[in-house]
Amino acid sequence: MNSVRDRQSLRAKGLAIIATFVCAGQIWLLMGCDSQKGELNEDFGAWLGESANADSHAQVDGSHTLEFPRDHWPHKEFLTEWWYVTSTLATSDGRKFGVQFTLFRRSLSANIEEPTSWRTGQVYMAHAALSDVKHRKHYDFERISREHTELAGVDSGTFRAFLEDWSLESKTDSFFPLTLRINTEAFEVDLQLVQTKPIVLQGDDGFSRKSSDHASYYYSIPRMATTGKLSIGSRIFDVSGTTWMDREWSSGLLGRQYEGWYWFSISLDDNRDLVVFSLRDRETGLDGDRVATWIFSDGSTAAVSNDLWSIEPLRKWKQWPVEWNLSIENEQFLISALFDNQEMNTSIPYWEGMVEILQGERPIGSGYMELTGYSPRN
Amino acid sequence: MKYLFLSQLRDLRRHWLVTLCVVTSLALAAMGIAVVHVASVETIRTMENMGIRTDFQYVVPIESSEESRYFELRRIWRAGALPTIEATVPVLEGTTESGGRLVPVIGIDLLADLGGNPVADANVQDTSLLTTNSLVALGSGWKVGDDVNGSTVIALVPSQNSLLIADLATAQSLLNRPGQIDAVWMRRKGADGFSFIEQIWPGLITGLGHRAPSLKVEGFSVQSMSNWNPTHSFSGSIAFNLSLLGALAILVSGFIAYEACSSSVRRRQLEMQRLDALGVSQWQIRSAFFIGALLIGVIGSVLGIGIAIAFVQLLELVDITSILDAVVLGSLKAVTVCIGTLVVAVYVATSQSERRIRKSVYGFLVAVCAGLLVWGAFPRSGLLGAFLVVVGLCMVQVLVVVPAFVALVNRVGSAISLTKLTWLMVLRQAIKQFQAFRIPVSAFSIAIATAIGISLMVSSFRLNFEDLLDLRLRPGLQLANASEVELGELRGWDDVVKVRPYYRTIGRLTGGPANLRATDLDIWETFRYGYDSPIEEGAMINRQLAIQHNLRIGDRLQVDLPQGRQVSVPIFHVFNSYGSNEGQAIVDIAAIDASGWIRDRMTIQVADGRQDEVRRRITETFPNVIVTDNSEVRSVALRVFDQTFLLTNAIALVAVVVAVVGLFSAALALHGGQQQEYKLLRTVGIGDRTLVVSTLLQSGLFGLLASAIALPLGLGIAWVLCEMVNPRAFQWVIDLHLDPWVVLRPALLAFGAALLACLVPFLLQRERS
Repeated sequence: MNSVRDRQSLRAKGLAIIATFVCAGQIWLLMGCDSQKGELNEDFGAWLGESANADSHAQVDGSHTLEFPRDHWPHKEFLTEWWYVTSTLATSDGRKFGVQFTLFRRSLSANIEEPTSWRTGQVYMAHAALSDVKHRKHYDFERISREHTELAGVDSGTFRAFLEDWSLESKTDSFFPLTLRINTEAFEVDLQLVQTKPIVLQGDDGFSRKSSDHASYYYSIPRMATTGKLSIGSRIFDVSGTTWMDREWSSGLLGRQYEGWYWFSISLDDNRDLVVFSLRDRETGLDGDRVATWIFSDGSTAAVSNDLWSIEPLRKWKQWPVEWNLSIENEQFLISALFDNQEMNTSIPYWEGMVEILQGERPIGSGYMELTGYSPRN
Repeated sequence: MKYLFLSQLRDLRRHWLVTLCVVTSLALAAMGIAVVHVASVETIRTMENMGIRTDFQYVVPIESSEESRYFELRRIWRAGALPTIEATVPVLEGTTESGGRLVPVIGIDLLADLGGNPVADANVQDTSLLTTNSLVALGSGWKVGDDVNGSTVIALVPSQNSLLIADLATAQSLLNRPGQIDAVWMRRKGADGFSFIEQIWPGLITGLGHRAPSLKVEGFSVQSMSNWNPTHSFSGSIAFNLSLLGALAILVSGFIAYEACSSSVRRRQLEMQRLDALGVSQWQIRSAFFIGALLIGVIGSVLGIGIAIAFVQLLELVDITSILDAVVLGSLKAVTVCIGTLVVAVYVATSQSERRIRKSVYGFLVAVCAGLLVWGAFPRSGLLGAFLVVVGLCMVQVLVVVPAFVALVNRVGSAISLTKLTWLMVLRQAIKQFQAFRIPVSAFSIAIATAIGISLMVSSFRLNFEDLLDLRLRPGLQLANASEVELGELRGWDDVVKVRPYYRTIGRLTGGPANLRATDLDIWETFRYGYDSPIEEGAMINRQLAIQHNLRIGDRLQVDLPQGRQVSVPIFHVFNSYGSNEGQAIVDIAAIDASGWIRDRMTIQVADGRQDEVRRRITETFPNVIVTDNSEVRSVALRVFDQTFLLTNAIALVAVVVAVVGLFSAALALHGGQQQEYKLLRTVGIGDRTLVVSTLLQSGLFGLLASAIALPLGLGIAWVLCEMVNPRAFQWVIDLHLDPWVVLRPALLAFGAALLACLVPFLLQRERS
């Protein structure tokens, strides 16, 4: 984590100029990682599909019918997509941990000249993070690689999405159960994820409209029963809990009018799950297109009408609102970060961390919160 | 406190000439530091643009060229077995022919270290390097859109040498080597810290001889990047050498500030005693001196930076706008170093316990000198060790030679008995002056000795270089860009005596790339390299290659060629080459199969007096060929040589000027204090004319002594530069030539400068009185 910060600091000073990487720097920029002037880039638009070459990729128009297990695999005709895994875990004596693993895919061009194993036009970026609630420590790491059978990608046979030795993989053709393996210099994770609820197609059967002219294909797999081991340094912990997985792909997810979003995946103790997210307007900072969906214990879902729910930030840490009051239908929830510093010090800084859900002062669930595009001025 | 400060200001104003001297010396020193910094940064950037500037410390050659070995190594790294490594990058190297010239190609996985080395080059606005067969071209003669065997140049980077950089996929396609890599570059964690040090003091890491600690990976051979990419140490050595010249100027300036402050303390002894009696603490008194020093430091260094910028512009050393960050950092460095030096000088000069410290520390300093000299003599102490020998010699000069010489002069002077009173006074006064000027004389002798040392080294180097040119550039014509020239046709021309083609390629020795040249190694050719018999089925290598790969005469030179072939021949001769520290080998054409090598250069021996005619005919027949007469090459090479050392000589001259200013300042103080003495002499009937003549003689004698004392140190510095500094920095071996005129020139300069520096203050004081 520190090395990433050090590198950002050096970049800010503009010291490391190496002719070798002349052009790689531009690739970096295209991926949205423009921090060369030391400014945090809150513009997720560039990252998530706002690009000059987006038009040459397939567009999300709702014509695609989601089908499984087929759609767990990549959709390279689209500009970008990701596999987003967040786990809320605890040891048998109640020590809490949160794990995040994200694999982003980005297509550099729809037209590749003389494709080879080293030139597929696909680039992968992975983020891995661990939240140690007891010690209020957050470890985060980032890797970037081109697609290559030995480096990064998604295997075409039995499912394996990987970037070197970080992987989310299946042992069977039916996709489930999944194994998540992360190996970093600070922590290691080896978790088994078992499906307990059906796949949830977000929006209109997976067609998730973000604005009048932007949309994505989006589905979630909530509350996967999770067991396994994680280690921090030499200490090994047996853990169990639940995992939420999001899958989304698009060629233009975020309109230029938006600068980011907030997103919550919530698992309540009464076996209900809730996903809440809203895009945030670039000019006003206020909510734009927003969604709240209940997933009940039997797997059925219900979208909540926008006039039946509201959310307001209560407390900020740095620029990040880390405590929220959610009012949905007739229920009130306090969503609070289990500790404040769960900032991702990656190329694009964002906040992704474990939260607890309270009613009054009573904990009634847990989840993950993601905050993007909050500039320090806010 | 206000009184103290105003009093200090009054003193500075009253002795404005001394103040001016200190400001001038500081300004010159600041100028030296700023110019050296900017020139060093420019040198490093320019030179490293020739190839690839890397922040990688290790290279792992992949002997089999199988890329699976890279993945194997990467898995080891990812499993945590190499915790000190931050990045591993696969590299493919080779050459391609483009427009009749051989161009090196380097292919790397541009995404393997993304984030670690971000670059903002606005030339490239897309990702086509990764998605198409496209290249970044370094060097001149390229333009965007150029086709290089199916790959397109999409960006240009100015550089002196040609090089094509490509993504690994493009390089594999361009070099027709799918699935292959040649090496893996690795970067250490925390190495950025060294980059930061290099920003502040360019060349320091090279000077310190820093190398990443050795690294072992089972099943792989991990080598230091410095062998693989010697450019960095080459440019670093140049920067380090320059920076030490800048340091010399500030050292001499420090001596002057110390002397000026000491004389001020002596002058104001009574005032300080009164202040002490009034209860003013020593620190308060000193703080007034410090504030005064700060003021002088700021004025001097700001002036110096202004002069530096003008100097750089005037000599057209660099385009300041393109190197603004270095200009700003160099200026800040100059201000900081100047003020820091002044503060130290003032601290020492105002220290009550100075004498006690000097006595107690003297022995220690002498021991340090001896330590530096002994340690620096070991080749393993590197470039820094060689320079510490110079520092040790300078310390010996200050601590031992100057005091001993002063004592000797004093004894000899006392023993001399002259009948004429005036002559006796002149002699005694000169000796007195020499004693009083011990510190300025030390500074002066170091500066003059450095000038002598550098002049001797440069002149010796020039002689060596001329000898080398005379050998290499035997009468004849050189043809470049000559791939299209038919050898048979040329050989059939009447006036052409011999046509000698050169074949070139880049091979790989374990530990780094090697430039290979193949030609007929007959006596004519070997003589050019200082070997007096033909070489059959063997090779000659340059000293750089010999040192980098620990090769000796009699060893076998084994080089892997890109085409999968191998050269294996005995080494017959090691020759000197100047200009870069890249390894080079020249192989007898009969020993190898040179098919696939580039044949774009040749030399032609021409019948006497027919040079111009043959040249004209070649130009007409082969319009793309560049023809050069060897005598032209010689004059161009010498011009480049002289330009290269222009800055070195200029900075050394700055140190001399600073030292002269120091002498002037000391003489001002001395003559100022001798007003009463002069009045007395006039009263007893000694005329003005006699006083002037006697002062002239006394200054001349002083100048002679000061120059004489600099001579041995100058010779010592010259020897260290030729025998230690250059071989360690560049693997250049220079035979020292003791040209009396080269020695005498700085000595005479010193004599004249010392004469003027002592005479002018007297005349000024006389004018005043």
